[in-house]
Order: sequence, then C-alpha cells, then structure tokens
Amino acid sequence: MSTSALILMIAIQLPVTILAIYFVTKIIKEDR
Amino acid sequence: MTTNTESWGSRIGIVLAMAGNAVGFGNFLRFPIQAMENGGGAFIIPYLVCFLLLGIPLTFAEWTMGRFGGSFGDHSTPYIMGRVGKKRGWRYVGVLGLFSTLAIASYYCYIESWTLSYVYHSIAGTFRDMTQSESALFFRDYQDMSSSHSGIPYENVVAYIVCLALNVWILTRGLKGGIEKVAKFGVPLLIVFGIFLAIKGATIQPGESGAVAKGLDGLNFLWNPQFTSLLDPKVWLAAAGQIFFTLSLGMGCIQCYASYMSRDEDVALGAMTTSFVNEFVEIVLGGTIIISIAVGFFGLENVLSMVSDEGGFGIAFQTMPFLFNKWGAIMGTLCGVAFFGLLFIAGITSSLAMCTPTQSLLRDEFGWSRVKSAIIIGVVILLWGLPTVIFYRHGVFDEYDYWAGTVSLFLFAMLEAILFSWVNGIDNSWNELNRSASIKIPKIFKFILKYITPTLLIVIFIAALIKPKDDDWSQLSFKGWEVDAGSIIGKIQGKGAGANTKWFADTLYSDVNGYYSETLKMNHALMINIVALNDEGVAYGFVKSYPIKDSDTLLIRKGELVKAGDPIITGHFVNDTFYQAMARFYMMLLLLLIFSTICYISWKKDKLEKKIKS
Repeated sequence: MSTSALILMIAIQLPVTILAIYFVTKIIKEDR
Repeated sequence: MTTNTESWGSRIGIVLAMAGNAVGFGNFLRFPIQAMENGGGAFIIPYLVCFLLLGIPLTFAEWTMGRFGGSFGDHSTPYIMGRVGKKRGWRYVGVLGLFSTLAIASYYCYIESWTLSYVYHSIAGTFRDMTQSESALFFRDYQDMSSSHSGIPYENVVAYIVCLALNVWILTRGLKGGIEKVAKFGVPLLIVFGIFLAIKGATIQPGESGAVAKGLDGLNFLWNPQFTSLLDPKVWLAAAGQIFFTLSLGMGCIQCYASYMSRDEDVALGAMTTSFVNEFVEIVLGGTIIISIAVGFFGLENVLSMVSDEGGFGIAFQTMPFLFNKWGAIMGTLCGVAFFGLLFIAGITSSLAMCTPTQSLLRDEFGWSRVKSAIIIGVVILLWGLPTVIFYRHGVFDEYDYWAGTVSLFLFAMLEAILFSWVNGIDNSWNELNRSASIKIPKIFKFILKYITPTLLIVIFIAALIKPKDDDWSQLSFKGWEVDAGSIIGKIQGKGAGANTKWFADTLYSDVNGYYSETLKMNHALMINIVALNDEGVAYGFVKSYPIKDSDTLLIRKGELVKAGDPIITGHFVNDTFYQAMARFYMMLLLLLIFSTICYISWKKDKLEKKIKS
C-alpha cells in the first residue's frame, strides 16, 4: 500500500471511527 | 384525531433504529462499486465533501422537522411538512415522501429476500465447489421463476413473501417491541460480522487459498488520492447520489422516527451519532470487505473490468459465494452466513423504516390498529413488489429504482431543504435544531443549511435532468447537446431502449453490433446469444441474449455478423419497453395517486371533525 493512500485512509477512517464511538458513548452515558 | 401512542423505549434505541435505517445495501454493495467505477481515491474526496455539505445538514433538517411535527402529534411527512410549511402545498410535497418509501420498499424487499436465500444456501452448502461462472449463473437463475435450487417451487417469489411477512410481523409489534428490539440486536451484530469480514479481506496474502494479490491492493486503489477528480462533474454527481442513498435522505423515514421523540430530546446529538455510525460502517467496513476480497482473488484489473461490465448490486451475489469457498468448507460457510446475514440485517432495518411513515399515517388519521395497518401495508407492497420479482429481467426493478429511488428522493430533498431553511426561516429552524442540544453545532452549518445545501441540491437536480450523453460534460453548449439515456429527460424520451422500442412487435432487432455465437437452453427457454463487438470489431465481454420460441423464425445463421437495428427473429414479441412503461405509468403513478387521495380524504376528515367540534 502506498504511503499517500495509507495517510489518506488513516486521516479519514480514524476520525470517523473516533467520532462514531464518541457519540455512541455519549448517548449511552446520557441514557443512564 | 390521533390514537397513536407509540414511543421509543430509550435514546440508544432511537439511535440504533435510525442507524439501522441508514445502514443498508448502499453501504456494503453500492459504495464499493461506486468507488471503483469512479476511480477509487478519485471518489473519496468529493464523497466526503458531499457528506459535510449535503449529508449532515439534511440529516439535521430531517431530525428537526420530525421532532417538531411529532410534538403536534404528526408522524408522517404530509402532516409534518404541512405543519412546518403552514401551507397546503407542502402537504402534497410530503405525499412524495410516502410514495417513495413504499415504492422503494416494494423492490428493496426483493433484494432483502436474495440475502435471506443466500444465507440459506450458504448453510445448505449449495455454493460448495461452484466455479465462478456457476456462481454467476446461480444468481441469474435465481431471477427466473421456473428455476429452483432449494426444491421449493417459485423460490424467488416464496423468499420474497417470507421476507415481507417478517417485515409485517415486526411492524405489528410496534416501535418499542418490534423495530427497536430488532435494531438493538441487529445493528451491533451487523458491525461484528462486518469487522470479521473486513479483517479477513484486508489480511489476504497472494498464494493463500488461491489468492493472486494482497487484499490491501484493493484498499490502495480505493485510498490513493487523485485531486484531478475534483474537476469532474460525473464524480461529484456520483458522490452526492451515494450520500443520499447511504443516509436514507429524502424519504421521510428519518422524520417519521424522529417524530416519536419527546420535544426535549436532543436531535443534534442523535443526527451526528447516526451519521457517523453510518459512515463508519460504509467507509471502514463497506469500503474494505468486497474490494479487498475481490481484488485479492481476481486481481485489480479483472475486478475493474467486472465492475464496468456488470456494475450494480448483482456483482456481490455473483462473486462472493465463489470467493468465500476458497477459504474451505467451514470458513466459507461462516463467511457466507456473516456476509449475507449482515446484508439481511442491513436490509430489514431499512425496509422497516420505509414502512413506518405509511403505518403512522394510517394509525394517526384513520385510527387503524398496528396489526391492521401493518397487514394493509404488506398487501400493498406485495401488489407493487411482485412485478419487480416476476418481470425483473424486463427492467421493471430498474424502473422503480430510477423513479422512486432516485428522482423522487432528490426532488423531495431539494424541496425539504428549501422548506427548512427558507420557508420556515433559517433562524427558526436553527433554534429548533439547537433546542435541548447537548453538543454545540458549529455555526458554519447555519450558513451551509441556508445557502450551500439548497443550491447544491438544485444544481444536482438540474444536472440529473440534462446530463449529456456518456456523462461527457464538455458537450454542454448554447447550441444544445444530446442528453444521456440515463438523464431524466432521456428517460422520459425513452432513450436507451435500444432497437426494440415498440411495445408489441413481430420482429426482434439486434441491440448491439456483434455476431450470433450460439443457442442455449436456459431453464426451459431457448436463448440466442449475440456477442457484442466494439468499433474495432473486438469482443469486449458483453453478450446480449434474446429468447426464441419454437414458433419463431430465426433470420441469422451461426457466426453471422449483425449490426444494431438488424432484424434477427420474427414472431410475436412483447418488448421490455412495454413492461417498463407499465412500471412507470401504471405502477408508479397509480401509487402516487393513491397516496394523494388517502391524504386528501384524511385532510377533509380533519376539517369536518374541527367543524363539528366548533
């Protein structure tokens, strides 16, 4: 895998994953 | 008067149901194909820009309007939009939402039934030892009512009815006891299946179980940035279309689900959560599974050719069962169940959302019970969906998908964006969105919602209307241009129908330049195959098949060259244009008319009730 592809993949996938987990966790906490 | 007292059980329940609505076939089947067709990394950047400028703002608008309408007891788009717009005309725009949901559900349940059948066949071992062409043939056979691989006659129709019955049964259980329970169990399971398959695909190594390339080679193609694509309108249109499909925008499902929230619940957080869960499933899981597995076993070049020849949803059904088998009997079965099971969950959580707006209307305005409304919806979907099953090969399915699943969605979304930001006023809408919000939405979204999103939607709609032939936008000029067969104008003009444009004919003409290669017997029917040739006279892998009966006369000899428009068979024929016209004018317009009439009656009823009260 080329470096530029790897950088773009991480730069997009990582924030999307973190934000998805963050928002779901926030809702679960507020539910409690 | 509404007797509908439905509500959600918990906030996580709403979010998972909304995520289940958004996560569908688009995430796993459409996204990878769109990405491949539009140059991999060339597609990702416009896709993300569209997510920020169209996806998130429209999701905010739909959640906000839904919660607002729900506080007045309105749970379906005609009533919600009428409430926001305060004019009768907006109610009819809302009717478009009801029409789209049920028309889409009609053919969506059919794809859902494929996944259910494929789960069964994965467990039963039907795919074991199949070659790639046998696997592809299995999918084509499946669309033929006379063929059955399970011993059940009319297998595709039976699977469709089973799927629909399951949807109806869940609808009878209500929001809390049915949809929310399915979402709470299904969405996490879907993510687990997805992670398992994504890891399996990304770790493929050449030589292992017959793989010819690394799974990561597929990801390299998908993620290699190509900034030149930013100037290509075709890629932007494809990216905007994908955002629509994936977030289930422009249908009224989100408004309906949100209308069952209490007025003090947080729509901003809910909208962000479902949008990002959907993007995680699409970009991280959906973007990895099919691309890495297909590239690993076929190689990048072959996969690109397959995508350009076949395209559409079918490619996963034609190739995946064969590829899973390469991992051996046990792992192949496990992966088949995981993949098609994942698709089934993604499908059913979306189709349930599509049925809910109509169920809400029937319950709110006519006081029907959950069971009665669910059964009536099931019957309507069956009546409208069966033609897509029976006449799938004649293009009925595609016709539904084009008018209900594409044009109607864009039109509805464009009007709802104008309603939210301009008719209701951006300040009112912004305050309503931020009411009880526990997250701070960046102010830039107020500007995007007011100017960028409606403008983009209008531009996209106009572009879809006048798209030039072969998506070549350099043709645009003041002197005029030839529209594409896939543009709205092209579709209305009946472009792309090929050489056989008459509904009923006594001569069948070749649609392609090519040569008559063979006559085949496929499931009790004789077919003649014309191998298509390009301008240089070279076969490029496309074969056009024509059915022939004993009473017909074949006008060409084996190996003979034919040109598009040359007569090839005489007899009595009903061309595909007849079935497509019936789908378009009879089925689609009739459904729109039925919904308009139902809404008109319910508004008249409301007026009368108010008069009696006063």
